[in-house]
Amino acid sequence: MKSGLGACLPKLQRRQVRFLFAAVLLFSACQPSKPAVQNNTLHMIVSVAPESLDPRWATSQVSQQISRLIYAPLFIIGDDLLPVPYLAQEAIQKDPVTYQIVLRPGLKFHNGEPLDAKDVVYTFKNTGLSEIKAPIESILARSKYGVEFKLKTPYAPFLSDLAGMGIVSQKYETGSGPYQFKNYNSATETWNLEAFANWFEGKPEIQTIEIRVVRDGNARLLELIKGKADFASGIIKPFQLPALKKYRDQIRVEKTPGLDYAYLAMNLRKPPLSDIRVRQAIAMALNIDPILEAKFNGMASRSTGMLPAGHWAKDANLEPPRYDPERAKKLLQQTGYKLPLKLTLLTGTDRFRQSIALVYQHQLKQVGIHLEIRVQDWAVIYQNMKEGRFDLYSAIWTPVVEPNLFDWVFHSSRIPGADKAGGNRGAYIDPELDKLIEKAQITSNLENRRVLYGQIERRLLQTLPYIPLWFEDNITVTSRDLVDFVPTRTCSFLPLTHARLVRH
Amino acid sequence: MKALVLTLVSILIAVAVLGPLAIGPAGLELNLAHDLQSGYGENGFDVFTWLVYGARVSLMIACICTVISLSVGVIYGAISGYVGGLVDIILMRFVDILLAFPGILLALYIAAILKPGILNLVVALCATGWVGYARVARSQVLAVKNQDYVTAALALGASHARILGRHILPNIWGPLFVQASFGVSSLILAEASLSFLGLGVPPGTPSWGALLDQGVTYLFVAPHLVIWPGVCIAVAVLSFNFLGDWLRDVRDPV
Repeated sequence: MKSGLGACLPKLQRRQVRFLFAAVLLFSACQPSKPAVQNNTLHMIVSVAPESLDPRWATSQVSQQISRLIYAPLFIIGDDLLPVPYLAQEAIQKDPVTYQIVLRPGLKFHNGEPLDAKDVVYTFKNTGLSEIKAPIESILARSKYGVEFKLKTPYAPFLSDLAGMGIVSQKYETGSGPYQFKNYNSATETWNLEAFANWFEGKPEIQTIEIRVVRDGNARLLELIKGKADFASGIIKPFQLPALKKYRDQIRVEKTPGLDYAYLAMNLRKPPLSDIRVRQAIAMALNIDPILEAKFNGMASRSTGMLPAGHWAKDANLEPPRYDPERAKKLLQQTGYKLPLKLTLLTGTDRFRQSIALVYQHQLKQVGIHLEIRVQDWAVIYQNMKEGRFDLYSAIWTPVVEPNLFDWVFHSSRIPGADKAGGNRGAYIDPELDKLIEKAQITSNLENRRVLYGQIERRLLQTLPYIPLWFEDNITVTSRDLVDFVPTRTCSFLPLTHARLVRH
Repeated sequence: MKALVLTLVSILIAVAVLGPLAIGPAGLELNLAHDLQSGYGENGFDVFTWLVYGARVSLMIACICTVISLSVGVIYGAISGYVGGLVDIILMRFVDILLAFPGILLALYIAAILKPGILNLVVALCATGWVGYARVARSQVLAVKNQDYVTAALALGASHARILGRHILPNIWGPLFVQASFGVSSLILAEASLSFLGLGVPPGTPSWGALLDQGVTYLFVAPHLVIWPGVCIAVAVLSFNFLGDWLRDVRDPV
């Protein structure tokens, strides 16, 4: 008898003690202490490890941001979200399907080899990436610095697509960007990049960039507060900022209007969401402004569609769905569905996003919709999205630069299936919108395209396959030691090339 | 000791049973204006109300699981011990297999497969919770089944069911109750752990573990979200551990 009890008691207590201290340990999870910061090394923290630094395999945002530092692209995206020549000197459009790209002369790869047209041809022939959606017919090196791209059909967003790909050396697979890869330490999950002396804008002032993965949000705050990190882009959330207030003399917080489009997607395959009145009722039942105020401390702006404010193709006169719970209630009653209407919302495991989902649940309840929140791992949600197994899901398109994204997301030929990929996960079918999208794709006059995209967004606000929510601001937190850093709307790391470190 | 134990446990039970009736659910309402203000949590619910309702959820789950585990475990263990032989060997090997898993891990696994929900949480916790009771019940039955009064009952022609129910079970309850009170405290912890990991109660249900989970996200801006549920869990676990200690001392003063 005694032995039976004795055997289980220590076990119980050990488990309890373990749990009580687990919390304490979690909070104090920091990196092992390091020697004092070196003078000309920028300590950058990221929230997830980049899966690849090679531009051909870098798909996540952080991989692309870092990859651009090492593998410079032909064009970059400016703050008006139009392509700006970078490694390219200029682009000449000879006819609707032929582009002549002229490279800057004298460019060098990190190993000293010259960069010329054949490397550009090699890079683009070697990518199997969805990054380049342009219908490329052929790529030819016309001269040492001249590359000719021929397209199958006219494709207006072509130059923006070129910004998505860093140039890789044909012979040695190295890059030609302002920083070169130095080493990687798998034990500390640290990457070191070193300034490239032959960079065409001149050697960057900051000699070394050390990139470290810090997965826990609280640990990231501590790193910044303790001065162990100089740079965190897009990984400090608005609700965390009050914690940094006390350290204002040491830490700088910069905001730029973001490009990450938050939306609610609906599955139009089956009732009740195939009924436009139900979708309108949901849009009218959601009161978004108080969410932006309370949850984002105002650091997000209401959106009227996928294109962010200030984008060259944005129609500034569009209105977001108006909050009108009374009309929503009436609309729902008109549909004849039995109330409360039961719907399920898929959302990720992120605590903050879940809390916003609870706000939707509360607001929809007022008009007679019972929203069940199902928390799933992102990989599971993604699978369900692709296979059309959902009522609603909340997600973010990141970042929305090229308006041709409408084709991927809303064209009826982009409904994902067993044999094809596509972003039209709610199975939205609208021949009129298809026509507008196709027309915009082959229109190269910027003003005409702008008008077409305005019509597309207006149509989407009427038919509501998505409910537009907001754009979250980009928040970059840096040490005050970092000077001359100008954050961009695209959250690019390239402005670090022109920044300096002044250690106090 | 006795006074302390009884006060703590009765306060806990009173809060869990009467608390929600006394303060009403108004504080659980969403109010974005209070989001993460002092005394309020995520989406502006009142932390005190949440803790009181959380006490009900925690204690209810712990008690239900204990009753189910205890019943299943005692019946299983008593049959195993009483019948003995090959049946005992087979039944106990199955218990050994379950015991080989760390309990919380198996519960995690089950909770992850099932959807979050109170009923599923109970299933996950009971799935491993009963084996400890089965072991204790069996060893108790083994100890008493050869006693003279059992032999006497057998000689008088009592059925096996009657012997188990009327003669053996009343004599083995003691240590099982002691274990049950420790069981309650470990279940409070297990529920909190699973809810903390997002595998317990569904989002929006008041629970200490779920509140702790929120608190970790907002640690630097709203530390009260970590401190108060932490205190509640610690006090509840300590109370039921004290209760177990006290029951053991009462049973076995040496």
